[in-house]
Amino acid sequence: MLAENELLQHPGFTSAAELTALPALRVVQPDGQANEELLSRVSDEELIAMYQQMLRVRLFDRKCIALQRQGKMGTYAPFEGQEAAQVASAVCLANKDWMFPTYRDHAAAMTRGLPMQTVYRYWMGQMDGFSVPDELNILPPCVPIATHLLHGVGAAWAARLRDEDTVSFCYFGDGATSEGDFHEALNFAGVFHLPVVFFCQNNGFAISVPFARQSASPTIAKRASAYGMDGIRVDGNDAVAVYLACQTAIHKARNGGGPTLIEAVTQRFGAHTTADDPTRYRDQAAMNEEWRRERDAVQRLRLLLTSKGLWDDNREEQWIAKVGNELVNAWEEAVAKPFSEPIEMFDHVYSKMPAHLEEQKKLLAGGGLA
Amino acid sequence: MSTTMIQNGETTGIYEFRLADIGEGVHTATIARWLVEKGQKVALDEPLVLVETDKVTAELPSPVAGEIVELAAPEGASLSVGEVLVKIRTHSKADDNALSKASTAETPPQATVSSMKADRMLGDVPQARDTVNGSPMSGQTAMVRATPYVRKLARKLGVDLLTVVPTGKEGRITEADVLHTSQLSEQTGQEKSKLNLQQQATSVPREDRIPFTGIRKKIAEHMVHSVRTIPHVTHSDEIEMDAISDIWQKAKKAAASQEIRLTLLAFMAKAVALAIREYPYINSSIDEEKNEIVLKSYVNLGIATDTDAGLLVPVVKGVENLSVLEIAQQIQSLTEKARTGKLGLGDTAGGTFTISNMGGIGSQHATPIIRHPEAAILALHRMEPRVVVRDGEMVIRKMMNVSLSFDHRLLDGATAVRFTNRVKQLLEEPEHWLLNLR
Repeated sequence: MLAENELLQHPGFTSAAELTALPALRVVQPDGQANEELLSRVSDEELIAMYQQMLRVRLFDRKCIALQRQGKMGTYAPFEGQEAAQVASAVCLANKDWMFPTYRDHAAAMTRGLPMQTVYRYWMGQMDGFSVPDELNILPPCVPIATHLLHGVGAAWAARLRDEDTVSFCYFGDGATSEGDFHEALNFAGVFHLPVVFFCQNNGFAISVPFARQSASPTIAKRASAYGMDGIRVDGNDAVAVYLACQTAIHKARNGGGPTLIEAVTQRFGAHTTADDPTRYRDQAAMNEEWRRERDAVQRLRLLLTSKGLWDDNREEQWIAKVGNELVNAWEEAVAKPFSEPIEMFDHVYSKMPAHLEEQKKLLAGGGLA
Repeated sequence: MSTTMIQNGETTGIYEFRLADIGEGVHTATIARWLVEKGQKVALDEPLVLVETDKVTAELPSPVAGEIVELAAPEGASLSVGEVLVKIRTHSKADDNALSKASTAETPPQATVSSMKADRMLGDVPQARDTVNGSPMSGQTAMVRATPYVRKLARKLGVDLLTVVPTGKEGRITEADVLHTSQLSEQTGQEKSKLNLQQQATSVPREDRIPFTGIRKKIAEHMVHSVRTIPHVTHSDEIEMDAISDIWQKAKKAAASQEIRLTLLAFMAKAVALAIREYPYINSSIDEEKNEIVLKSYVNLGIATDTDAGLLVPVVKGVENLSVLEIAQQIQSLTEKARTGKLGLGDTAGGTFTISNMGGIGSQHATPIIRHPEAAILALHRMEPRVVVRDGEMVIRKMMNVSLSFDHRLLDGATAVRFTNRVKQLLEEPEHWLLNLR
């Protein structure tokens, strides 16, 4: 038998000890100080637009929690803390690109142009909450974990076969990387060198399971090499870092450079959903204080913009008031629309409805219980 | 939840803010802390109250701007979903647009900017949905419950599931129900052609189809009703039968001279009746309408009897006043009637406790189903010589297992076990009978 210390001196040996955490790409520090060379790749207008959108979706997120607590919406999955990851990635996509979001990625979808009213309607359980404007390619939010990564790979493969220059952009969390679908998707994307970007928001918890209990590997990004693709780990609370990483990965995919796995290290400040109590599995008080002080993406970008003279308290107030009106108006529109009828559930599944569904639809139309 | 505008108006009204299901399937919440007080002005989405539920502890933000009129419950009180938490007097639309302080806080109390003016709420939907196609929905159009296989069978046989009477668990339509309906319509309807029958024959090959009707159906209905209503618990014990068996053997001749076939079952029945004197809840039932437990001073013993037609349970009445010989005589005549199909309605009604004798067929344990509304049933298993330990020595004794199922609503396990222990004692030490003779 070869002793372990002998074995490692021979070719072919890979050591688990080398799996140290990758450093993450960061452009803007928590105090707003930036690497000016990297920051110069983003225009002031882009920075302001990203900040405004991050603040807008944060206020939307809080409004949704209030509406849920008031009984006006169903269970809701908040994303507060992940605004930079979602907004700064979504702004990099072209309309024709295919976006595959989860139930926590409505900030990304709204950044892409999904109307606020539609997102309200989705969380109210209305059928039209799934509808997407014709000019956008956004899939309905995927609730099963990681299944949509395969859809993304399939769409990218189709684009290749059709000779289209669209990119598939898949959003998922750290929990999804523990699923078999993650492996299958990355494997095929690597084998066929497909135009996909796998964008993982590692927020540290799969509902209540901390990342250390999901994976012995300290990073997700490093897994990319096993699938023959590039990987990058970015500070997910740094909008500029996220933006630069996504922009490059999308450009590369569109131009035949193959897939990329991006790990955006971030956190959700709130609960998994409104039916979850995070104090049962983590120190929520520390989350609210230190984490917000050190990691809040919205605050970090505001500090940067303020130091550059691009933003001030006055503009902040005006913007909050403007978004406040939008939140109210969109909600009023959302509740003014007719509610979905139970019968509609039959309409969007099969192109040719099978007999048993025809039967149930008839039964329901005849006054059967919904 | 629903928020009801009592005084409907643009300017002023009273909002009743009702507790919503804020988790998935939360039914109640406890008021942990009020964050506002009566008379206080609140902004929209301003936190009003901290509530605790099974799932989450959460601040509930105000759905309207206005002034607190009434806190409907004190701290520590428990409220059900749908109950009023707080009443708020709403003001003009201008007030509604006031921003909550919470909105711009660095650490949001899980609330947000701005108002919510629309008075159409998700909670209103059920009322709006009470009618479908203009006609009120009622129990007339019950939901059809059937498995995909049964639905397929029904389609194949042309049976409309709405016309089928379900007999399955929780109102499910079973395969047998569909076949039964199909046969009925074939018998009565002229339009059912041979083709249809052939289809049926080819659709279910190599199986026999027996109508699930009559006594089999009745038995099934009783069983389902009992198991659905009564939380059953079964315990088993073994009884040494040598002593009582000796008496039985000796007494047999005396009985035979009176043309009575004395059985061990008669002794068992009397022992049960004696034990019931001390444990009246074994012989009770629940009057569910009046919410009362009925303790009976009479013991009517059902004797579960296997017949060609299925299980029948003739009842020996007033066992508490009958001698062993009289019990034997009654059992003899009733089981004879049962086997020849001559039992009258009165012969099977009015039981208060049931004995199921499986000894003749042989078994070791069972989980007998109680005859609703009785409280217990005792199964007797095969008596056989077994090696047992007495005084540290292996000896051979005639042992019999018994299994007692009891209604756990009426009886605790300890009571049921003590009852069985008493039956066991009476059979193992028959001298106790003399002690209780009246």
